[in-house]
Amino acid sequence: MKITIDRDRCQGHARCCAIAFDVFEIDDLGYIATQSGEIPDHLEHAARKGAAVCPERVITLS
Amino acid sequence: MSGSSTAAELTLAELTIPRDREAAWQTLLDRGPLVDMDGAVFAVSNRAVDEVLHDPELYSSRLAFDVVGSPVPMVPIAFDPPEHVRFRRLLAPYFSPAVIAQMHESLREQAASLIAPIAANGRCDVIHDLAIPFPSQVFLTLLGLPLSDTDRLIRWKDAVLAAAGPSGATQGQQEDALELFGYLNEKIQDRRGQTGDDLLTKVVNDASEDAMTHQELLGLAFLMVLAGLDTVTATLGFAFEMLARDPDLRQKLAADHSLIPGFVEEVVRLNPVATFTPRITTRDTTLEGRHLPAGTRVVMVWAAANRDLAVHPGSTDVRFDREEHHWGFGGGVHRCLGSHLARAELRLVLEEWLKHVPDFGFAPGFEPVLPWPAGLLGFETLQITFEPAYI
Repeated sequence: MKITIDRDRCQGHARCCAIAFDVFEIDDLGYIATQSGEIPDHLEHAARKGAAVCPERVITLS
Repeated sequence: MSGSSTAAELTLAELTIPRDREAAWQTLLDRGPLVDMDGAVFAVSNRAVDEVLHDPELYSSRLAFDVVGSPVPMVPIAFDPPEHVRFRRLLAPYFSPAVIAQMHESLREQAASLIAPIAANGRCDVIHDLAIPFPSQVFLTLLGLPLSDTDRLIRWKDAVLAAAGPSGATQGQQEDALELFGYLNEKIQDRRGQTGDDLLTKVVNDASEDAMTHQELLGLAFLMVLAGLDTVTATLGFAFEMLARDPDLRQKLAADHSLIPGFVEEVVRLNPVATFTPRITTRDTTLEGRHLPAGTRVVMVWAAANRDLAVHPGSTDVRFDREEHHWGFGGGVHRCLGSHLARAELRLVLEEWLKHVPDFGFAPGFEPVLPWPAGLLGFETLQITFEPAYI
């Protein structure tokens, strides 16, 4: 599955990383460091959680 | 829909918050997504809050916070982009998860030191004995100020909050508020040219083009006093209240500390202490099908939106494994800068507390009552009793 990261929307909540650290990394300032791209099937569930928990809709899945 | 001609308009003061805040939030949700109260439009649904929060140009903070009557600009809460971005960029490094993680050990030690004498007593007022001193100490540590200033800081902070509140400050409180300014002023001046790892020394000595002026530094320190102390105090109070009411919850957490972060998140979701956060429209607009003229005061009700069933199944249940976003720390460009620090403080206090006092309840005859109306929602006292523990 593909994850699309809209980094401009990120406000540094860091919830994505807190709930799905296998998929989402944050940088030194607490903003999302993960790039848009394909992720392996076994990480789909975690990716969905990370996307849902973000208050800013940074992460979309397709 | 809001504005039904058969329903009398609510006032803030009559909301049943003191003894039944769940009913109050539900009342608002039932009337939502927008509710008229006291001359303002309250956004209560998740979607309405989301919309207001994410258009800072249309829904302005600067206009909304002008009325608090602070003698210095409240950096950065009272600013809109683009000015606001400058402050956030300067401050973000000091509040990032990585930097806060470095403080964990020290925070845990401070929590443990405060808890040890309390645990031996078998009773305490959570607010007075733990929830007030702990964040004050953390704040002083963050700014590299001496812990011996804790009592003074608390007194001044109370004075400043009284001054900003509905009845204003007494003469004595006004003097206290001025003392706080004097103190912060002095500390800011002292730090010029010093080296140190603490936030205050670093921002004071920032030599970049974007560095804050003296007035801005004062405003920042002032805001941090307002934003970093009572917020954590109140949230700790809610955490203990929720635990005191629910033996099942206590047992689960005491048996498995890995559930504590999920619990902390629920405490914040269900009890967002900033409660009502205002914006003012900068032009005519439409929100949830309703026309709002320019200059309309729109108030976001986090606690209602955080219970919106459209987002939160079983919204009033405590569930450790929720995957929904919530507005407990706000969102958008003014997302609570201290959110990572706050989460750490809450988690560490609860871990240290439950380690030694896994079981407790309200003192006989004690009923928790929330002061209302209030700018910041929180208990003033929370009496609990428990089996003494000697650490």
